[in-house]
Amino acid sequence: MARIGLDDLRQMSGHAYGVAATTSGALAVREVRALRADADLAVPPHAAELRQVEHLLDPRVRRDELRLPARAPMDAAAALAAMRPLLARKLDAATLPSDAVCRVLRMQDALRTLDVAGRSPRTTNTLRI
Amino acid sequence: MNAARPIRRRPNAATPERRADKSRVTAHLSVVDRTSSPDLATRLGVRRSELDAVANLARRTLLCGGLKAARDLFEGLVELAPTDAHFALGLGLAYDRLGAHEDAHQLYRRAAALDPMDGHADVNRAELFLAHGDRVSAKKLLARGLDRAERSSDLGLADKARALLRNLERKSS
Repeated sequence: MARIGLDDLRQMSGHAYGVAATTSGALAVREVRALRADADLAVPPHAAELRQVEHLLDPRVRRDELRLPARAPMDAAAALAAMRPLLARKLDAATLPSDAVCRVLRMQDALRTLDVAGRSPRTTNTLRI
Repeated sequence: MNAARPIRRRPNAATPERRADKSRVTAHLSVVDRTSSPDLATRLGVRRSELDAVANLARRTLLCGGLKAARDLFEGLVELAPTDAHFALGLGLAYDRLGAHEDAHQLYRRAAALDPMDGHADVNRAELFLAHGDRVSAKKLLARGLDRAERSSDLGLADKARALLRNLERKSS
């Protein structure tokens, strides 16, 4: 089995995301299966990335689009920009219930992670549904 | 109810705060019940556009398979705006996909009560009942979800509910 480079994998998995996002799934499924076969043998770190692509193509995941409709359509970059003021907000732990503070802080942590990931070319794909 | 398969609990990270937080959902619902006071988003001055942006990211994350991150995002949203049906629906789906079916049921129920025009929570909950082999409960919820979907002209959801109902009826005949 041919070994393929990291850059090839990144480019191809990004393309698979793109194809999946435009809902022409057959091509994406073929690509991902081929990539998985290589990546599992050749490049373990990328196998995880490709599994994520495959997960995206899973019928159960696709059904989730119907389970939770989008309410405020905007692209990922706009959403990241719009939520940044919330990241900067400080919580007054003394005046709020502690469980509320914990949940909002966890949310801010998750947002911070997405914000960092959204700036990197590799992971931008994960937000491109 | 839920007899066919035992309910799997959500896998929790073993942080002290999570160990202390025995019932995340109960805490959420107690916040919802404080109807007379303004919600946390209002008290903190968080704008609707910020909440919508987070919901958008949470949904994308969930659809990409980032279930725990999506759960954390939706939990924060439900905390900030406990009367928003969309946030409750999103958190319900995150719990659902993480296998925390009991918590998912509660959040779906909450979402259905908060927005009586939206059939998504009912249909999602019906699927949960189906997964546990409870066809009677599933059928009732599918019928209600279908009715809501038709009244709100949500054709995709109506098709899905109708197909599930037809399938159930075929199996029972």
